[in-house]
Amino acid sequence: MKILPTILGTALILLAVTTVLPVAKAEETITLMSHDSFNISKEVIEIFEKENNVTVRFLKAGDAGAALIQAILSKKNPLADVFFGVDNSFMSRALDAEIFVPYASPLLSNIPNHLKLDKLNRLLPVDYGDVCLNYDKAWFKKHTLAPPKELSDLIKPEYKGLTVVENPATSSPGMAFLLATIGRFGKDGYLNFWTELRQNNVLVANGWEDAYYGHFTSASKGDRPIVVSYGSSPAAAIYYSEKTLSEAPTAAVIGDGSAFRQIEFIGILKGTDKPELAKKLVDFMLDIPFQEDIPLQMFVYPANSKANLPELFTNHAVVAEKPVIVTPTAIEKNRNKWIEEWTNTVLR
Amino acid sequence: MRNGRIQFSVNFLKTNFGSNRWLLLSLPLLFLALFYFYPLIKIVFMSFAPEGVWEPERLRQLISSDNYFRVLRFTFWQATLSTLLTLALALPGAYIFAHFNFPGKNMLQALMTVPFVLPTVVTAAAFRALLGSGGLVNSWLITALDLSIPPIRIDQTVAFFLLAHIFYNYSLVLRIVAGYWSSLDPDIREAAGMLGASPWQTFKKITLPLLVPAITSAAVLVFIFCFTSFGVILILGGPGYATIEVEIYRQAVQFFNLPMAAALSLIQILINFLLMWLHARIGSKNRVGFFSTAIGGTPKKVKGFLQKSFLLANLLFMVILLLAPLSALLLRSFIGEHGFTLAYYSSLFTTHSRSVFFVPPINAVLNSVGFGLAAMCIAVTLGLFASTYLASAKGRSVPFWDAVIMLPLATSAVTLGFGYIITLNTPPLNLRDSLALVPIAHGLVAFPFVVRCILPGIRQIPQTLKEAATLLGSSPLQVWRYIDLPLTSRPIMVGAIFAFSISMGEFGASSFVTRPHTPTMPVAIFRFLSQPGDLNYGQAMAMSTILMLVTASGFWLLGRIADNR
Amino acid sequence: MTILDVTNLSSSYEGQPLLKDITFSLKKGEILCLLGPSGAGKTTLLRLLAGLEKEDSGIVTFGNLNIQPIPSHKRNFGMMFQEYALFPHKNVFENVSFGLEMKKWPLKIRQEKVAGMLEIVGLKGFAHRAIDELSGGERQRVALARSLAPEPRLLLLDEPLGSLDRTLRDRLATEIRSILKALNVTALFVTHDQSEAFSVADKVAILHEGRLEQFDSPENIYRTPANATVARFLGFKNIIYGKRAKGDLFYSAIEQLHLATENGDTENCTLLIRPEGARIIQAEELIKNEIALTGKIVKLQFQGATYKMQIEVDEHMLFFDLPIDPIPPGIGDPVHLAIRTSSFVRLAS
Repeated sequence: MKILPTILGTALILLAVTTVLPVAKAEETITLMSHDSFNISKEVIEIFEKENNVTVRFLKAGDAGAALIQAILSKKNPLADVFFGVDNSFMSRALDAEIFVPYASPLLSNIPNHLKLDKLNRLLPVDYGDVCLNYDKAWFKKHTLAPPKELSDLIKPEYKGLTVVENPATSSPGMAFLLATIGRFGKDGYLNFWTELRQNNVLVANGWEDAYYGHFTSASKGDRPIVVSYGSSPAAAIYYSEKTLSEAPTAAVIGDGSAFRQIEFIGILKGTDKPELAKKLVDFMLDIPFQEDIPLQMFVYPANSKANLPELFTNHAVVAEKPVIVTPTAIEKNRNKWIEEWTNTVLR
Repeated sequence: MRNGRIQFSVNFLKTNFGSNRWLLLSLPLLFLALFYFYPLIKIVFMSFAPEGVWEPERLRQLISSDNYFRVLRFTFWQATLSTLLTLALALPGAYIFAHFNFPGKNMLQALMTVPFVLPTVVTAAAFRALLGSGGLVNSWLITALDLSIPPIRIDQTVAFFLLAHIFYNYSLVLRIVAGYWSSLDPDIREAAGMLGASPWQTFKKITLPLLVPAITSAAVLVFIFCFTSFGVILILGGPGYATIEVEIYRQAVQFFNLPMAAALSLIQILINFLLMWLHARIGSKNRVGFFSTAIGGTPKKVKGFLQKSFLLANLLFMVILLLAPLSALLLRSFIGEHGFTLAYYSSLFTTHSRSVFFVPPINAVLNSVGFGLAAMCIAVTLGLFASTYLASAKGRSVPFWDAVIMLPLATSAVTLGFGYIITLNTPPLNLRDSLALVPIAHGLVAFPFVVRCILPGIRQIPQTLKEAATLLGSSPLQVWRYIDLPLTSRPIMVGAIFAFSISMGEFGASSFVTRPHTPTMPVAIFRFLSQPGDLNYGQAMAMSTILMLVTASGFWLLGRIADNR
Repeated sequence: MTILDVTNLSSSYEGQPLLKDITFSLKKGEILCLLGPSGAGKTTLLRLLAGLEKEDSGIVTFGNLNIQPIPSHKRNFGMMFQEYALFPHKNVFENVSFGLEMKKWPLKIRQEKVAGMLEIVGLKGFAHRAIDELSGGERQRVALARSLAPEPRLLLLDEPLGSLDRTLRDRLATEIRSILKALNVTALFVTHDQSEAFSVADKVAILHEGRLEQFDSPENIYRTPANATVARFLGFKNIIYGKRAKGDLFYSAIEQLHLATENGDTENCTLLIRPEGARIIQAEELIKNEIALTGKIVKLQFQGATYKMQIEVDEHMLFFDLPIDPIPPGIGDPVHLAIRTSSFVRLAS
């Protein structure tokens, strides 16, 4: 039994040390709150830290929806100075909650207009990516079947039981894909598409991880060669491969009206006591060094059109020419209704 | 528990222990008040009236739609079924662990706790690797029986998540019940035999009723665990099934319907509270006092054909249920696209990710272990205080407090996490983004576990022993230190083990603010799984294997220490 | 006609022998006390007979039937446990009735039987009490009633009075004997207390380190202990080692106890002097069948009916219980004793 006091003692010391240590650093800090998928290179953030003689503190708060709610809930006493990761599907909710202050960054001039959805510049676009179908190239080759070219292919009889999608009620790409079908088939027609897709034996997973690593033939022992993922996923599959690949094992379907464009925004939180520094951080995140860091860290496209894309992206990632457009206000207004209708059509 | 381990609380108690038992409960209650009731009450009030206005329309659906009733019914049904199945399967195992010694017992026991720390995604991967449509069993059956489609289709079925619930909770039931069983006086069983009861009659009429406190303790834990099940239902059950907890998440995060989320949280808490209160009332009423002089028992060697085959059948079951999925996982971490590879492990250790959040795997291990130990300290300290109070106090309030202590387990993590955001935001409790919040939150969840492990044990100690010690000149504190504590060292050990593993496996990313520079092992696993690429998947499996290894070896060590004591 | 026959019974645990070659028999209705220090193997022997342990070798028959293959719950033996092993979740009635329930007796008859048993053990009206409301003595009676209720063919009692106080113990020991005799039950009673054994038993078996040292009636065991081990266990202190020659000649370390002149072959021999056969005499006034002994009083203790006296003779300590008359000399004074030859017992070595 003597070991127990030792363990407990050590643990208490550890606890004390971990609690006290952060306090010991008295340097100026600025806090960036984001969802879990946020990523940045060490040397890139160091540029900002050195220039401004400041330490950037990062906070991650769950998926995009959960992070935003926590920012809203804490608006009286904000957790951070800057928030990154509101996307166009949650944009209206964020703006309605009035948690961001406007900032017309000079770097906005380098960002194409179609990405700037908030005319008051409370939320500034940082990156974008397309949610679309991915398919397993080897599988279609082996079964001598033509891969899908657009959404309506999925309800053809030869595609029966080939698709796995995510549940829009629990997954952000799932929601984006639902929006894609709404944009493509219209508010009145999209349920017919889903009815037929259900008859065609579509599989619904609750999250992207489960769909991709649980059911997609290219990434798991599953039996679904078509999955809802991102236009950049084939590039990521090359980048994160055990062996060097010259060609991606998967391909993205970005035919007209087949993809939903997710745009991610950054904003300065109301109540920050470092507004000038916060502006500098926003500028930094719209500027070239970070914008060029985005593709290989987060596998989405930089919003700044001056940023150069890595070779991996120019060769293997794709952007839709005519993605589906649904306005943030329409999304926020109808979200519950659409999800409810979708749930009734596909799951019950 | 010797010298100064809980020096602060000891000094605090020294003067008051005897005269006022309430002080025993005050530390756990203070903790609960600060880190549970205050955040919870505040978030519930705020949710019902987000802009300071009460909006009952947003709750109308609760009554008008039968969806919520369906969710509630399903939640109840699956929790009951999971609990009964786990009990039925784990009781024979508990018998074996309580009564026999066999080679590899300690090792097996350590391995069996591993499922407890595995993130749901990893468990899903393990079961799919074994039973999925392209899994081991199916491909074997296809070749053996010359089939064209996989015969076992378990994905997104009830069977799949029931299996996972059993997988998660088997060792919980086994440990709690076996610990208690081994302390039952063997004379009582023999007495029944001498009065003509066959072994089966003895079990039914004597042993089973005497095991009731431990079995219900375990059952209540399993029930609440399954009742509030989130990841297992979400991933393994698929979108066709939703528990209240899943619905809370959907309402809060997707629909931003905070009033509905709060109402559902309250319903979930209320149901579980009533259940636990009932359990505590019944439990304290038929408080049976029996006691073996050889507490902890002396396990026997296995003799005879019947015993041997019973033992083998059970061990085989454990291996199939627990070890097969784990080994499938282990295999998967070594097998890449082109056969055997060490690439996933080597990349785990040599990868030169430029990400500012990258930490070497060894740091994730240290973070996990550090948080786990801290959470264990908190949970065991609080658990000991609360159990000592509950075991010694009398009266109607005891079941009430017993149930209150269990509440953190029954509370939606999402709701509580949001509660922390809006409450722990002013000094000295400016903890909402502090590292200390991690062990506090884990300790909060583990604390009820510890109480359920220790309480039946303490209640069993005969009053006369304590009286004897008192008459020999022990102060109440000394009685507690020299009588209660040593006699309950096994249950305390079990409680500590579970507290540690709850913390090791906890992944609160969806509900708590995390500091990305100090990821735990589950967080590291999730990071790998959030982007495409076989290297990511392989590294996630390798990291899971390391998580398994760290956990199993930790428990193996603890088991060795406990045995050699 | 014997009913229980134990032949060459041996048992061991992890290589340590617990019982060595035990052989004895018991008649129907007889009460046998297994007497011995703790660790002697008494409980092991009891548990072997109960079928709770397995023997290494040997034969046990009951009513001429080998019972070794029969599992304990089918032997219809009763057992009373040291700590009683009452079922804590059942009340007095349910405890006593348990064995009858196992025999599938109807409730009505069970109630009558239990009521009768409770009356015999003096617990009338206790049927619905919970076990933890009972005192130690009451628990002991419930345990006795419970083991007797199914009318066992053989009752095994494992130190049933062990945890009770002296007075209660003496009273209950006699009570148990009368109850067992009234019901004509064959019983084995384990104890380490000889006065308890003598007040309960028809036969006493002395066990020591797994060996059956002596098996006889209580009187015979007390009068003529078989060997020094038995004698020492019975509490006798005057055990003298010496040589024995042809005839009943004995030479000991104590010169005064050279009982005859030295001649012929000698062998080692142990002599016991029971403490109660001595009286104080003035110098040499021996009567027939008495031996004189002179020593110095070291300790003297008045006991009521007797004096306990410790005397030193040739640097040896001897102990005697003396009648209160005549009044003995004081401590340090010389004393002359006359000892009856019947108090001398020759022990087997």
